[in-house]
Amino acid sequence: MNGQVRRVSLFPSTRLSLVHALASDDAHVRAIAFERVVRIYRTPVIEVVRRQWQLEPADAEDLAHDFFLVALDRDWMQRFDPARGRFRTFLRACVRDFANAEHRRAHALKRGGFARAVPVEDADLAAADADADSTFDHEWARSVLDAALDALEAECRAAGRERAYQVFRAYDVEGADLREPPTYAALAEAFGLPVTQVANHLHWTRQRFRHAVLETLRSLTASDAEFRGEVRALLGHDLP
Amino acid sequence: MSPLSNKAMLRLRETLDFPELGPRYDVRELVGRGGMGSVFRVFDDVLAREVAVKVLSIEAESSVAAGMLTAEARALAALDHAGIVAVHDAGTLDDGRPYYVMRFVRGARLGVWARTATLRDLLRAFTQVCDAVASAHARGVIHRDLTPSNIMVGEYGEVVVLDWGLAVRASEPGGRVPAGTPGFQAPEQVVGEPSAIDARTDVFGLGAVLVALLAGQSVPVPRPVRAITARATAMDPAARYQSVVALADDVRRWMDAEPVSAYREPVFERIGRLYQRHQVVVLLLVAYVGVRLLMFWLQRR
Repeated sequence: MNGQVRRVSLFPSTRLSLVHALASDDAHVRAIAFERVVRIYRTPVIEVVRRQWQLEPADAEDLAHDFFLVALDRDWMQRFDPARGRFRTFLRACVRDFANAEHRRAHALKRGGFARAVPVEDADLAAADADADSTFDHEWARSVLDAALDALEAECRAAGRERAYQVFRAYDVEGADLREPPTYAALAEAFGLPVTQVANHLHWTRQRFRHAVLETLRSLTASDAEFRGEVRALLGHDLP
Repeated sequence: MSPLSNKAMLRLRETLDFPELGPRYDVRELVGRGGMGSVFRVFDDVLAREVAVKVLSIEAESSVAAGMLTAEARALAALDHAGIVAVHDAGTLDDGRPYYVMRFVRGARLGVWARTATLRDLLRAFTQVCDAVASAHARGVIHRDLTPSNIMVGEYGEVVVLDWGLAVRASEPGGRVPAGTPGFQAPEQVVGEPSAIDARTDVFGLGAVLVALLAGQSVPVPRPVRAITARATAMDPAARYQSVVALADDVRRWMDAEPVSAYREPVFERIGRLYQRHQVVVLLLVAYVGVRLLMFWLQRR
């Protein structure tokens, strides 16, 4: 450390926030931002409505699709006020309100898969809501990590470092599902590389993966405080 | 591609915090996470041994936190004692986070270990903790966060005090900020009064640790031991043991069946203690008197 603490520069700060772009005056910018938000939140929305209303997967997908269409059509995302909380919490509340309204409508018309959804009893409402919130947060974390993996793969391909990405996946993704995670030596043999090269690949890809995750989170938040909160949430510190 | 499994998610979350230490160190797993730093089990390829690496957590990033981790490494390096985790190396990662490499302690947290320990084993381990903390005090360092989970009992019964992240120099007690773990904080820590922080703050912490450990004992805690914990955890620092050495001495005196300074024992308890201390001599004396009486009685017949 040599008496000096180097300035910590982990966090990307230059990327335009999608949350801000959602409120842009430029319709084209809004549409692109919306598409990217949908990419992250599509699965969490599907899973949360499927779980909360015990829907068939196809019905849950339809409902999520409708939600995003209505949200785009009525500019719901523009109503987000960063001073009042996180974007993720705002979106979850939008989904809850939309699903409740749709259920009432479908039930009144006795039409569609949603009309057959099991209504949640009042007594179980709070527990079901908490359970759905937990599902939403968990799926959000999965989507963020998935998006960062895609970004890492694209970066590796562009840099001609596909092998590095393969080593990373073998060690930190597929390796996690094994009873005994692979050692550097086992990976070196499997990929025909020196052990030091495996370490180097992991060193580089982890740095880039970390950067991709933080970039994704930065883009999904509106302020530095919200960003740091989402980093903590992703690491599992704030999630239930 | 199939969606990420929950295990893969967990692994990738850990990866976000993983320190990139170069080819020498193979980072195996996350073993602990605190407010400021994460600790990893790491294999040192050069020395072919496992070590632990503490690195600034990704979400704790700030120059203040980085400075605190660096200060912790330096404080530990200066505290050369078998009961204080040894630091082997320190540095800064490419991403700017400070880290340090230390001994990897195999064993159990003191709180877990104490659940199956006898009272005497527990007190013996406690005096070892006191010795380590007293050694730090002798070098002017106050731990400020002594809890059962910050102390490890190794494979061979050795005790190691960890987590010196809140440690301060007695001469530089830091800012007016409450520090420590609720339930183990001295009143002067709760108030956040830096000028009141001294060795007696750790005396309180150690007393609170002893109270927590004794709570798990299935046998009644002897009154002198209860008196020791009461004196150690007195609200007023002036009413506590004035040093950790004095606290440890009182515990050792009880273990050696000697009177403890924190407890004025009634006469019958003193007799019982003296019997316990000189049990063999007393039994031999009783046997001798018995034999003499028997011989006397036989002669009279």
